[in-house]
Amino acid sequence: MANYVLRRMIYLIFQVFLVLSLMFIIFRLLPGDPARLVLGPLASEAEYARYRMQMGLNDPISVQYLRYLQELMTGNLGSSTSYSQSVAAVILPRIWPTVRLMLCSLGLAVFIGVPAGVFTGIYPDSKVAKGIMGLWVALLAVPNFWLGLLLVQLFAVRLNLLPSIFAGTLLSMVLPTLAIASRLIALIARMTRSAVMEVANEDYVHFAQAKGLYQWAVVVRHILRPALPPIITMIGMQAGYLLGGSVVIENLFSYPGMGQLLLAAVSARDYALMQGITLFFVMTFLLINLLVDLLYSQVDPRIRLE
Amino acid sequence: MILKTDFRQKRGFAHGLIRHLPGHAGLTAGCIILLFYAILSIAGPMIYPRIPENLSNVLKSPSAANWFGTDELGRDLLARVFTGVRIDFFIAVGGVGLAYFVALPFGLFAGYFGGKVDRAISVVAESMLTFPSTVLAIFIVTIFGSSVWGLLLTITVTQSPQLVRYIRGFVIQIRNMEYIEAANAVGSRLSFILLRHVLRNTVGNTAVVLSLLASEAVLVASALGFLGLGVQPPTPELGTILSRGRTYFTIAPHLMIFPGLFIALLILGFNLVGDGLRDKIDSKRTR
Repeated sequence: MANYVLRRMIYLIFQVFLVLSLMFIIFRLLPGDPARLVLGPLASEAEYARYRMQMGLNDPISVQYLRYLQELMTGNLGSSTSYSQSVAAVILPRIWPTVRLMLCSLGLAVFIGVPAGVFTGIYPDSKVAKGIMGLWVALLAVPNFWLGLLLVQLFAVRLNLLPSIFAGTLLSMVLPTLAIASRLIALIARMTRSAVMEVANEDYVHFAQAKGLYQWAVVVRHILRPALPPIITMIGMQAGYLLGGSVVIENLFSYPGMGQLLLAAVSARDYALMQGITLFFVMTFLLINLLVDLLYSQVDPRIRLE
Repeated sequence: MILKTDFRQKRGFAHGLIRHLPGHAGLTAGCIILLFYAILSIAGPMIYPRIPENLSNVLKSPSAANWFGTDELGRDLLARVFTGVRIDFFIAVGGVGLAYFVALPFGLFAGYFGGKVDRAISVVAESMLTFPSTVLAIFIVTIFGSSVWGLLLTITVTQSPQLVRYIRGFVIQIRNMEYIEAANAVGSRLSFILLRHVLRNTVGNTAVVLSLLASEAVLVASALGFLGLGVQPPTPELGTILSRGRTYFTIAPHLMIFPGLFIALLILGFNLVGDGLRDKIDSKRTR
């Protein structure tokens, strides 16, 4: 186990290195001169030249790349041109809000999706179950930003129940969380349903019922337990959606997280900041997937990690 | 006799699909929706009249003259949305179609040859997949620019790695089949084996994936439009229309409802077709 984690971590570092290199090349392909964007159109040619010199923008790309790697090894992410601060100082306070939004959305999705999936899996022919399944098909078609807009119209503008932009309160977390979670709810519920239907007719389930076990105990211990691995896999596969969704939804609700920061960094051509944010997104994605694999072996003891 | 049955089976995928359509409600509905969008995209400008902007007729609610109402510059929203449908449909179908041609050789080679070729292709594809597709799209679209073609290429770049991975998986399933071994044994050329035996047998599964990726493409393209990074106004991409109308939603909710509805319906169409095709293929296999 420890051996496996170690090997995965080494591979993870390799992957991060590869992605950062890829990003370094892509960012240098972006049109737009950072000197002009930072100093504004009114500065003189000499000032532009001095700025490029200071930031090392005149060096060949290979030199810039090596310097970037060297800095990265020492834990220095560089300094942000648009915020005039170190990248780490800009990013750090933004990490927790985004992670909190992701955790809330994921929690809500599991909280609603799993019970709904179990219900529709155990009573697949009931009218309610069919209605719920239809709802999932509809939810999967609704883009999260449009859902967010609709929720704001309904709950903030018409009913005046919830704030339409993030204000630091728990209440203002509700709409962004719902907007991100909707798709996950539908996916988790559908996955749970098919996993439950697969095991619901197994002999050991009938046996558990026959020996007089409570219905809930049969469901939790004998039906839900073997259905967990596919649900966990689904969550891992949707990690990218969670992170990507945060960009759009944070923008919609003026939520002070990494997604907002990313858009600001791109429009300011703030290379160092963009690289720092990329590092965060990629690391989070890879760590979630590592976690999923580890959980997987815990939930299903038949699976051995190699 | 044998020749005759062989001939009958040669009618192929499309024929089987049409014959089986009535049996699957979701697939039928999805096909109808996509057909509707296709007709709207091709014949669009012939169906609805072009009404120029009219600043005395701003933000009007839906009426007999303007079925969807008018936007912040007094333009007919129906005409805007239908043109937007055309653009999003083109970006999604064109982008994913192009991605298929980019991904196909990589997927085929990685899956069929395995070994070092596979590892090299997979590592690149996997590392591109460590990005959330929205985030990667934000970076890529700034390189290609915010034109319709820029977005189409962005979709191609963001969806290709996924397609490579899927096609590779399908090919690996087929690679060790006996008929491949047989074809090798009788000395068929590699190109013949790849095209005739391998490619043909991935078509069904790939159709499912393409449909679902097209639905994701609509989502990404309209999300970029919504963030103001997509196709720029005055070109009416649906997400861009939504983004432009944001200020007026409280007084003119139709500006929000119609563009969003047409994005959702398009995504629904691709999802239904993808899921339906998968059901068809699965049921054929179990039968």
